Amino acid sequence: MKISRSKSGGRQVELAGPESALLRQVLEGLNEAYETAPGELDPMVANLWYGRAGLKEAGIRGEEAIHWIEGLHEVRLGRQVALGRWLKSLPKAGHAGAWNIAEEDVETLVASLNDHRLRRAGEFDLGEGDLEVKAMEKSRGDKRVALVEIHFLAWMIELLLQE
Amino acid sequence: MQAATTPPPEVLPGQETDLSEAFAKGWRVVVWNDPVNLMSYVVFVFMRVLGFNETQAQKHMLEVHEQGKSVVAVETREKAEFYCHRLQEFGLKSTLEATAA
Repeated sequence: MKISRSKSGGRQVELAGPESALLRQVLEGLNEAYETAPGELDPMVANLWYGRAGLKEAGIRGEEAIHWIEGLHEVRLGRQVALGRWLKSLPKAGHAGAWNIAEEDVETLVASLNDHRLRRAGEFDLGEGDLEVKAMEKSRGDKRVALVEIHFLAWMIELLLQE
Repeated sequence: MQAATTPPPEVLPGQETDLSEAFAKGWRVVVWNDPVNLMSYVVFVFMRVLGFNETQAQKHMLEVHEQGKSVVAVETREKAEFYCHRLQEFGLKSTLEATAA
């Protein structure tokens, strides 16, 4: 994967075939998770995206707390609109190619990719030790897939922020 | 000629307290450490949401990383809530604390 700044200020992401396939899988999973109501998400994921920690102590209770969580969900539903655009412009699964991200979408893309990292870590209750590359090499099955996605997206986020 | 005077609005004792509380910078926004968010991402969010320059953002990110938390703003209730919510929109663990607490 190579990421460069385009003349318009956006980003051009050059993807190899397996990378475009992985990214499509990520964006499709994220699309579904954004659509899901906070109360229906995996509780560990909901805790990371829509956590209530500290709300009660800050006096945010009842209707106010509901409004707080709804606000967080609305932001993610907004990101879902951009996800739809990105899925259309992403090279076909398994095909190498360039993927262009408009300048105004870069912040949303970075936040969305980070959301997916949080989601996958939540699904497998991953802690600091689990996130080391050595732990990924030793992992198996679905947990390994989650860790590959987490590390791939970390690399992508770093490249997007460097440009 | 004498200007017509309008009597000042009546302020009840309770209302006075509410107003002073609303405008007092009595709320801390705290960001907590977590194992998933990248250090570079946290710096990026601090710059975008809180308007920090890179040096300030790095300093607070390192506080979060090394001490487990960092107070990133001391603000009025309304502004503190805004910052706290924005940080959560980006997936950071943030809470509000009264400075008197």
